[in-house]
Amino acid sequence: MRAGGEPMREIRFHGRGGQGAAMAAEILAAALVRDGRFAAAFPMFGFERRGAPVTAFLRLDARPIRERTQVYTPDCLIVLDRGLARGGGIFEGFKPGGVLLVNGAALPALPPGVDVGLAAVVPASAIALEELGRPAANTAMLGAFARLTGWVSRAAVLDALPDYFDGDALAGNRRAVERGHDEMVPAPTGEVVRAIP
Amino acid sequence: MTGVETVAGQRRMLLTGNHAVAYGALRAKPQVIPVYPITPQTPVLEKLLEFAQTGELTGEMITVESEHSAMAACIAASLAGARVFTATSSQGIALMHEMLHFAAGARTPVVMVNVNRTLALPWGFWADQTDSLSQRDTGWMQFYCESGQEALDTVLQAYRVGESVLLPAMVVIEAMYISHTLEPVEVPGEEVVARFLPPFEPERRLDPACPLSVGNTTTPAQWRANRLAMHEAMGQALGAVAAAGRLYGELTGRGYGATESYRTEDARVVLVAAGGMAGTAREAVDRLREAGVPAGLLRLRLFRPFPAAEIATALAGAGRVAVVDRNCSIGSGGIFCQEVRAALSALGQGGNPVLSYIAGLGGVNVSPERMMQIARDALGREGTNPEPIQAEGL
Repeated sequence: MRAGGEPMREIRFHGRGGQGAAMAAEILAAALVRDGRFAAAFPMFGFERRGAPVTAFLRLDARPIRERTQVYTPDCLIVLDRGLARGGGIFEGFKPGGVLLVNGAALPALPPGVDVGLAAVVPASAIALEELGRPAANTAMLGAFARLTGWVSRAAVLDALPDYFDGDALAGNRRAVERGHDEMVPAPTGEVVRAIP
Repeated sequence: MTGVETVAGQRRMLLTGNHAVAYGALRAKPQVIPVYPITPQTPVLEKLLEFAQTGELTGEMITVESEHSAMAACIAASLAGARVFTATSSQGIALMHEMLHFAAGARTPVVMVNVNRTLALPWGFWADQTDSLSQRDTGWMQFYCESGQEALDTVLQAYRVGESVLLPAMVVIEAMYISHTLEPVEVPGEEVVARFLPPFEPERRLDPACPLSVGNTTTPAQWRANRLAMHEAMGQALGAVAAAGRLYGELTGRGYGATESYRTEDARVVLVAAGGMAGTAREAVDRLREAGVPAGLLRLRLFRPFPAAEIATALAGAGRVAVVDRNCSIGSGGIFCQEVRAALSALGQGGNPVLSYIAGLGGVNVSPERMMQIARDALGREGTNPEPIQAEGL
């Protein structure tokens, strides 16, 4: 498809209002730009309220991004609320061999035909409750994402945090990124795990 | 101001489209900024209020009770010789409608960002071009931007052009796909902008020391003369837009025109699109070319004044033309397509086969694949279509 270089990668975030899914996409974009990449992120805009399902999108590439569309065929799903996997709708368009990162202790049941190349879980809500006092799982998820994919550096994620937090919240989110990175567990339920080239 | 210093005193920052236009406004140093919030434009004025709090923005922000009042305040301040800025969307621009005519008739070079959003009912928050396109005949210039970067750059160009021909200008970005998309944007430095945009110094202004009134009742002949003068100014704006886009390019490395042709040489099918959808169409053109389909894109950046001659020249050699509208004039069809067909017909190119496609109404996603499908569909059709083709039904 491309005239050489790494392919564009598309990420879809699924969470609930209050978990920080939209902000996770923004922080990741800020981190990717620090790593010298191009990124575009935007939230699926709807009836925002605590607890409502929230979707956010991010594209990353080595060159400027021109598409102005939602992400329909994600290379990676970042699932901040495992309960949203019920019914399997969030896997729509998931690219075969793609990356799945889930907040929790175990992967959800995968719908038939979903081919996951690389998967991991991380107790991001628990980390957030301990470090921030509320279940804003987003930054712990980004720490885990950096380690799982290598698409962004942990240092860049940490560098991006001051754009969004200060004071105690900044310190807490720094710890959440570090702990998410360290406490990520590759697919414990035994799904096929293979290295991403 | 965070970010990374790049060429010509510019700073690369990660900004949403809304924040990008706020930076554009900041650099233009408006003296009066009347604002009223509406989703999804609110972050524009939130950012401006933040600039005002830090002292970066020295102009006076006025929080009014409605969009109608926001525009009324813009007109009065502009008549007093102030550079003004505001932003709105959807129901907001609809409520402003009366004052939009007033601003143009008073020849005030107000610059306003409009975030394209659906009009009620039913209620929605996503992109649709109808809110700005239905202001077509108000006498405002209209620019449709493909990215946050272009929106920032266009705010500055809109001031330069508007203040030279004394017409108001609307800078349009699509809801969410641009307004809320975070992406790297180059913010030009103050010195570069000072070289590009001279201070607004109108020959005549409201001044208590030299009393003068604006808005008196006219005779039919006077009214007619005012209209014709506005129309003539629009004609001058065509040249001014091209000149401003060139100069901006020399100073920043990013030049702009009223339209942009992308890979249209030898194209057998040319997609015509405006706004953010043009970026998606650009991607589709590259993919089609890789697949051996000679496709091109004509991007419409300027809608008023309508660059008819430039469009006719750009489409002269095109085999098939597929205009993609994210709007529908109920009872007629896609508005950009109507304008393109009328321009070609008026310029003796009525034989150009122009097909009308409606895609992405109400913010429905338009993917590169959909754009490719439209191009292939246009190539495969005989003649033209009397009814617009619904792209989602292909």
